[in-house]
Amino acid sequence: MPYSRTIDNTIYPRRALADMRQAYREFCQISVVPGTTPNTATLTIDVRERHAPNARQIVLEAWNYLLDRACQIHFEQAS
Amino acid sequence: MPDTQRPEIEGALECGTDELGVYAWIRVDPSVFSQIAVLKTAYWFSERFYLYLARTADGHLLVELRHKTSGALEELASACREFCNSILDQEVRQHVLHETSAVRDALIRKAFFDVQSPEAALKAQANEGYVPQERQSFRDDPLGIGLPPQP
Repeated sequence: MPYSRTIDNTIYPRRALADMRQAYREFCQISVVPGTTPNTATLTIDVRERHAPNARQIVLEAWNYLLDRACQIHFEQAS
Repeated sequence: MPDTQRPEIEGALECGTDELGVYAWIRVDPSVFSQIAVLKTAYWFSERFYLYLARTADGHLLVELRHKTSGALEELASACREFCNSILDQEVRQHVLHETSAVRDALIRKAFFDVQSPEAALKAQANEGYVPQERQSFRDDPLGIGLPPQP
């Protein structure tokens, strides 16, 4: 089942999104649609059929991966 | 954020359940805590919890926590309170970092750049066109560098 959320690009930079899509391409299909308000996007994670039994873990691990990459990018910019 | 249960509402803290299980989220005022402090705290918590950050229409930061394995809702609420304390800790660190940055930079400058005067460093230039001539190989050692020191 696809799982969608609105993300803020000031928190999650586009580079982090690209890295997440690349890292999880084997497990799920990730689509990003620009949001209605500036600096937002709707991110949809659709876990591939063969990984459906672990869907919760894959979706949430992908979110954590995205957060980790976002943190690294923000910390690099701050230092 | 779909949810079917809202067992606890405490202003900045809210808990619930959706298709991915139980969650708890807190609302952080950006005028009190900087985004970098929230991100640093979230980074540390991502080892123990699944996190999702969002921004509300009024500019507040929402931090959502979920268990990595099974766990009770009350544990998540407790983790949220711990998260609040950690943000405060990180925010203080950010302030200290900002206040002491001049001293830190001066120490680093002194430690690494006082060894050689800036003038000497500026004058030093590599001669890329230099080609060793005959009897200038390190094997020939015309200056006798390889010889033991004379008493």
